[in-house]
Amino acid sequence: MKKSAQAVIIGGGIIGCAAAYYLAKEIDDVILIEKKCIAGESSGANYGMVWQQTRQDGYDLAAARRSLEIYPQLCREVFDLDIEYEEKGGMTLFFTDLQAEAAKGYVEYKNSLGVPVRLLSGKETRSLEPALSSRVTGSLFCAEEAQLNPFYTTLAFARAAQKEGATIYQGVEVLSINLDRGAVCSISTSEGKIFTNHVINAAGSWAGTVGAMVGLKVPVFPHRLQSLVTEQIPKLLTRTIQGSRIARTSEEAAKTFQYAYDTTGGNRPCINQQPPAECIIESSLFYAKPTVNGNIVLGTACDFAGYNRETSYEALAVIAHMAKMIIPRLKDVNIIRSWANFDPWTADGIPIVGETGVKGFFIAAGHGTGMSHAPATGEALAGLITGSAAAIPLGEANINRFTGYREEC
Amino acid sequence: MLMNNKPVTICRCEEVGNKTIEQAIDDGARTVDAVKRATRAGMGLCQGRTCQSLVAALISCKTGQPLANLVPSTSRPPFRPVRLESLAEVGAKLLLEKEADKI
Ligand SMILES: Cc1cc2nc3c(=O)[nH]c(=O)nc-3n(C[C@H](O)[C@H](O)[C@H](O)COP(=O)(O)OP(=O)(O)OC[C@H]3O[C@@H](n4cnc5c(N)ncnc54)[C@H](O)[C@@H]3O)c2cc1C
Ligand code: FES
Repeated sequence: MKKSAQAVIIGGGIIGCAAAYYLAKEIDDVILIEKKCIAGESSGANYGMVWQQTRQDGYDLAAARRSLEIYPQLCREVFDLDIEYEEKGGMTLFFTDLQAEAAKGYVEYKNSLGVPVRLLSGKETRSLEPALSSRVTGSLFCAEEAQLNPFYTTLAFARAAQKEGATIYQGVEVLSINLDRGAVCSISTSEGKIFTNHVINAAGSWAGTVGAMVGLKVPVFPHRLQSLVTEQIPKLLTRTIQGSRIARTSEEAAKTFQYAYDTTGGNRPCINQQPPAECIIESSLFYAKPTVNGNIVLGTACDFAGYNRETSYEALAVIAHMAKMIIPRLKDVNIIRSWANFDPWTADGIPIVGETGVKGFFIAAGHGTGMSHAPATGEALAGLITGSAAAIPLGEANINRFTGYREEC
Repeated sequence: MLMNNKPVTICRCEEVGNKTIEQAIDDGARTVDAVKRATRAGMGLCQGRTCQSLVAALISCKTGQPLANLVPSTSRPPFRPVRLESLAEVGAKLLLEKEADKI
């Protein structure tokens, strides 16, 4: 193992690999350390949606839109692997007339932010996706959204980083980070020590553990999401679809299109804020992703269960029920596998990206939608570290937005 | 099995050959799970029951890791393919019990 590096990235998910690629383009001696294998956690277990209609105004939306801009170029010029990037548009379904009414205001708002989302009737929706049930009363459709294979995309970034000179160690765990007069000077791993003045915490749902190595609280929590996958079947869906919670009153309908788990009530989040108690049945949206191989991935059931990656019969049954109601033809299809993985969660739904009170210690973690953010995050972070101009400003994503952060450092 | 250099299919469900798997190992995959993610070997209808020991043998062969260390990739329920509808019926009942209004 190498003894020193200009920068060490902790975590080989999509965020760490994208950061490694953009950094290695600018500086020599970039090392990425991954405890399991590339895309061994969330980045290999998600639905691969690159969406903007669900993103919050500000940093969240800017990062998604910038990524939608960069991906096609990466596919053409950088990646040596087909990441199955398809610009098929994204669709959010709803099920009552009240929701169709609420959707109008939402579309206007999104359009004012530059998101080209459109309202489709039930009939228009089914003309695009004929397998959808007549319960669907309409949808929000955004043509400028894409889907990709999350595993191949992470791997493609890792390979691009290696081509730019980065070194990747898999099966190696970072155990501690050593400071000298308050600044990062080295890290200790399960395979030895590496001297470096820059460490990037891209440990996804484990960002808190890595933050604690320099005495920082990094308020990222593992949000468990359960999924099912069907056997390979002839084409049933064209694009990834998202369901919404059914709404029967106008109050409920108005909340249909609120996606962020904003537990802060519009205030600054607190560094000590814990995830809310959550019931799988109440909280989860429906997703169906047709893969290039003909399997359909179905989700989701969400809760906070620490790092428990077991699936539950109850959760899988509820997903299956939603699937049958929304796509009736799925009822005779076989389910071949299920899994649970962790979506990194923060109290305000925005990732934590940028420098910290510890010199040389950077964070890029807490991404609820890392596939939609990774290229922009990697690019911006590399800019921050090397001092070049930023394509998107990172200020809003800094950890210092959390009240109580300063006292902690 | 690989003596004569002829390509062989390792994962029959997903039609993945030894060349693809060896490439993945050359690219850094060191566990059955890593090979599965990189090549789809083990993601088929039988969920790796047929191919995973072969994948483990290939990894062991190419990297010198003892076979015993190559714990098979986590097997996830359902342990046999199950029709979506039979799961869905359970889900519908659960929702009724909890009076949850969900599509
Ligand atoms: C079911 C599901 C569906 C999703 N769907 C989408 C979607 O459609 N679109 C979208 O944009 N996002 C989606 N997401 C979210 C997306 O998966 C995550 O935002 C993204 O994968 C986060 O990437 P990451 O690199 O931050 O974390 P991870 O992929 O979890 O990577 C972190 C890595 O750090 C490593 N690590 C931790 N500690 C250490 C240590 N001490 N030393 C070395 N390595 C360490 C871990 O092993 C891990 O590999 C979904 C998530 C889930 C669970
Ligand atoms: S033979 Fe590989 S999954 Fe069945």
